[in-house]
Amino acid sequence: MNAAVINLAYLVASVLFILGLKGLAHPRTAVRGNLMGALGMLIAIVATLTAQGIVGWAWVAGGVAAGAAIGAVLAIRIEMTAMPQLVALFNGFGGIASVFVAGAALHIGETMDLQASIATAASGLIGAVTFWGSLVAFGKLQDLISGARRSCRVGMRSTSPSRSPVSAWRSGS
Amino acid sequence: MSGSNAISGITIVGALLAAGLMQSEWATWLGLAALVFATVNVVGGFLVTHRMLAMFRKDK
Repeated sequence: MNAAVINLAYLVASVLFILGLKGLAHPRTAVRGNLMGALGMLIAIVATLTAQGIVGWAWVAGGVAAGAAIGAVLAIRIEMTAMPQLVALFNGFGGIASVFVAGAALHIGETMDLQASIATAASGLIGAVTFWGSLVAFGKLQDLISGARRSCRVGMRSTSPSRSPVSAWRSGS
Repeated sequence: MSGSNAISGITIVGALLAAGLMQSEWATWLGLAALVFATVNVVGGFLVTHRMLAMFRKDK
């Protein structure tokens, strides 16, 4: 498919995302909104796969299959009370995916104009912040990290061996 | 929130291209890793949202 049709498909997907989010805000239309978002994502994925030059079909199929299996199992099997942590984890996964995509784009090394370079770097930075922040959120929700606010001064005193790794995070204590 | 999180998985488009176009070895590996993570985000995100919404459905 040529680029114009693909871009049109992306536009349709974007509209579906917006309408889907709108639908998710109200109980009556929430299920439909979620389905619209999923449909938009499917359209975006299919349109991308029709791009010129895709050769690594084995990688694509394997990656999608593995991700779908892991995502489905986690989403279906995890108990309801752990949903917040799971959403935080998924959010982190999206972030690390952004970082890897930015890395791949930079590694290809094709000369990018300034706008593309800034966009790539920004998406990598945002993805990294998302990833680590989501991990912290997951840790707090899963009670691996204390929910108390803590300071973050540079120059921690050395911690005694009896301290847990978690309390070693607290600087100056 | 989980709905908008699932939509943030749009980065899967970049992952598909990185893994599929195979323009360099690193790009392919990074793309594959990104593809797995992004697909988990997308599939898991929409399913989790659906599951949570099912809790609130009024039984007719």
